[in-house]
Amino acid sequence: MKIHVWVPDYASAIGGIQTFSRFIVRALRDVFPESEIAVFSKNDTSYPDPASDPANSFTPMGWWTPKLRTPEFAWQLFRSAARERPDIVVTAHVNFAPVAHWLHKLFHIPYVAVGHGVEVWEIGNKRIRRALRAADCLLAVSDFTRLRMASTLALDANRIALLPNTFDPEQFYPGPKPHYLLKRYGLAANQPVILTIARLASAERYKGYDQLLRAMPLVREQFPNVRYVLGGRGPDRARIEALIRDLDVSANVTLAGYVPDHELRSHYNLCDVFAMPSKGEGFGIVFLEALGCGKPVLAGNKDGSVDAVLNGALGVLVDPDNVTEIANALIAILGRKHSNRMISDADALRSRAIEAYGYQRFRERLSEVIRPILKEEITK
Amino acid sequence: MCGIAGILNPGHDRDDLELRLRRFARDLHHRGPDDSGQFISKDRVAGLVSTRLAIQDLSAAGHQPMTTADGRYTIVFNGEIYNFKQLRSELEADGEIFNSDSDTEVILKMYTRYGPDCVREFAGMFGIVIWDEIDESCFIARGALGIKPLYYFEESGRLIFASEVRALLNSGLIPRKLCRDAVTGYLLFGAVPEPLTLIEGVSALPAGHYMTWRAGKTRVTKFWELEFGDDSIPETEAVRVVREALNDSIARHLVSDVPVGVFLSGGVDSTTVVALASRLTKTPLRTFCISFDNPEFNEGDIAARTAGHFGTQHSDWRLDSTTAKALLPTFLEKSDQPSIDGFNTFCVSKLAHDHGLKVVLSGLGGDELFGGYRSFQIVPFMVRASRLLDPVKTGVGQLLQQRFASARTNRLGHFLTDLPITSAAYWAMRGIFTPREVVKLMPRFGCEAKDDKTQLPMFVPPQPTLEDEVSYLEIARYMRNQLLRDSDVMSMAWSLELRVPFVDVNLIGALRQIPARMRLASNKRMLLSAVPEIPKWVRERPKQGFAFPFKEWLTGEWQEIFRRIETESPILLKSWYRSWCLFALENFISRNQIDVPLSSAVAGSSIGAQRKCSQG
Repeated sequence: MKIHVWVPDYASAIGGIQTFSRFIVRALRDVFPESEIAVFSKNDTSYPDPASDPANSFTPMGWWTPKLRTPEFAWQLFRSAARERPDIVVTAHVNFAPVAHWLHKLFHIPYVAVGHGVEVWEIGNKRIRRALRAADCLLAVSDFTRLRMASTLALDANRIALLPNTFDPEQFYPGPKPHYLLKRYGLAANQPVILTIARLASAERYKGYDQLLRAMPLVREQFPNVRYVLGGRGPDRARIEALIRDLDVSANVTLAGYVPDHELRSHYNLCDVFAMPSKGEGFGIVFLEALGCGKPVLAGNKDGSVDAVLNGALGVLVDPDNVTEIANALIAILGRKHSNRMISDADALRSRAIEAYGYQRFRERLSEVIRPILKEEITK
Repeated sequence: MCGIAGILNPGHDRDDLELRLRRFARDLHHRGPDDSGQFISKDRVAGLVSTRLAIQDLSAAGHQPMTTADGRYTIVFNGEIYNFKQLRSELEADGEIFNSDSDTEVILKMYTRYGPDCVREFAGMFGIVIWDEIDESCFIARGALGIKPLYYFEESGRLIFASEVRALLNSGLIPRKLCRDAVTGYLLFGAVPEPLTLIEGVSALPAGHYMTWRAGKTRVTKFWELEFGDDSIPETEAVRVVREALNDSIARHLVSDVPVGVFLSGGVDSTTVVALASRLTKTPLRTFCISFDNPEFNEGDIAARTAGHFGTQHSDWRLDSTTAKALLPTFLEKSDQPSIDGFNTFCVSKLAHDHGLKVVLSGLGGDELFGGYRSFQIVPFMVRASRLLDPVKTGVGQLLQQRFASARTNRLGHFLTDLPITSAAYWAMRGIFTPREVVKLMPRFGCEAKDDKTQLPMFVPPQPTLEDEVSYLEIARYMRNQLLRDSDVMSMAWSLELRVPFVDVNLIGALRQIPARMRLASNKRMLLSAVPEIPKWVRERPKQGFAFPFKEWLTGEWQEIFRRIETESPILLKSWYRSWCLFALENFISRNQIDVPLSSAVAGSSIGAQRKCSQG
């Protein structure tokens, strides 16, 4: 059995779609151990670590100049699939779906397309719309995205299956506040810490770090030594620094800069609450990772985050535009006085998150949605 | 600096544990001749052994294995933690009390308090193993930059580890079978690419990773990765940062309870070490250099002049071909895994050893960090050019891979048929044999090659520029797999601790913020600006690698051997380093009695002949 997986990023970028893509490949390998999996990545310029990658082959196309990359990638996808005739194509981004549509028409290759967030909430491009409507299987990473996607495609929501994001509980687990980070940021072990990790760019402001900064003076009134650690780098940093000065919260905010993958768990374990009152999450994998580390999370109530925190069972949902509400929620969480008692119970948070979104569940769901569209002799 | 080894979950060998550990101690004696010790856990689930070269705290208080007062944790440790005094005073401020002046005890206390993540606070080179008697688990870590090696073999819940592959092989617990992928990697690059080793099933714990072992299950976690930043910073500020970070690193690397020397050549890097170190030591620095009669290779005169300039106590060894040839058998005997290099470090280590030194500093790493190789200009050029040439390049590439062209041109040809990405161009520059040639060579070593897609894919974490990608590859491939491996084994062969102040996490941490266009500016401009003490005669000298006149030494009996290798080779060898590459691998195979399935191609060769001898 041959599987082609098309992804925008795989080995070298970090973000929700990339993490999801890696899990898809891992799950395909586990569900179909004998299959030949070929991954094609639009933006990578090197190979993934051969020691840990489950794919059989990998084609990085990020070396094309940005202007030519899209058509060249499309051509590469088409050519490879026409030559190798995979039994199924999985496209981790809907923008590649039109290529899968042609392959389907010419060679009857079934295809699966995945919707994550904003890119499928409104789809104007006619070819993409047509390709998605004709897909053998449509997946959405959250119920929120599923409903938005169904509405923009004018489809019955039942046509779209749910495959929520997942996380690796072996990689994200609770632990004491790491000494090396306490030292790096000049924190005491008992000092309350609020954490956000996001790219600092104007396009990412929907993540809500501005609102959090604005909430800091209020939180500080209750917790004078509170520290907001904002991890990430990007062109928005200078503006954020100015905002911090204007709000006079310099002593309570640390701009941690880029947080590499291998320090993510340590950062979650450093904080007392992971806060990202976002307005544009398709799902928000970071919430799962923080929950895996047993940390309470604060999320916005207007996007896919609602799914990640199981409608508020696993975290606190707030109006992302309401600074007072954000501040009050943070104060309640840090003071362990929130009405939802579970969010102060690290073990309960972790086990509920694993139960709902652990990798085992992800793998089972993927198997359930993919098997029906494969030819019978393959699934036997 | 030491040799460490051990067995977890020995199973049937439970009763033989002492004997096994004694054998490890014997095989690792050269790494630590000052002291040795072994530890066996209560239920005989774990056995650890250490041979120690005493450098910090020469007293018996620094003895290894070292156990905590409550008997819970036991450590064996190879390497140095250069910031141990600072960590120790922080711990003391928190109320910890110490029984020795060794860095080993600091590691043990850090682990007890802060768990596995403590390794993120260590600036140094290390392989650390800590046994937890209560949890019956083991923690195994290797330093961020992989300066010190640590190899392991895992089979049905049992874990065996050691500082050298040879020691693992001699344990008698591991099948002597070649690893196909490692042989491929070795032939492509001239050194075995980690985490592979030439022995099937034996892996190097990757640099910047730790492993936890519990009830026969292992989990490996990354704690460090090399990722350059793209901040903007004024040039004067950048120069100040480099200067300060270099000075700090060299000061840390001078911490020792025994005298410290420096390997000095005619190059910028070792001169930098001497220039900064001589200001930091009270007694005159000892410097060591190998020189030759052949002026093409000789750096002795320049090094002597530099030594005089900085007032060091300089020793020079003029190496002639007779002496060099006489040393080659010892060199081969002391080698662990083969590479196309290593003899130079072997000789200069002997020189320092003969002068009674136990610790030396070297300038290794300066080229990788400050853009000292031509690859920093050529690889990005090749990548860009190849992207432009895309429509026609495959045809040209096929042509350039023909027999008539040189080995280098063949590799360039292969690159043109490959993806135009940094790792492919880097291989074309640094590689030895092309994938096509490897396919033809593999049967000689009893390995089957699957197809000609044998080039090992290389991972490069996100870097802001192509030049940064080259720097990553130089550090994580060439330096780690070849330079550092040879440096460790060859210095340890003479019970000498080699320290590399350029290869330092804090220094690299400071350099990360400087953009590539400054940090990797051609001719190491950044380094030269940061160290104005480097004298004119070193600055103005054209770049020359620390090379040995190998070719002219390989006469007489050596010529015979190399002629045989050329005759037996199924491909044209074209350059001496390619002959050496095959010779070193054959030497490893026969010396370690590796099981090579005798195909017809090999039966007539020297490996076959030697195998028959050893069996007979």
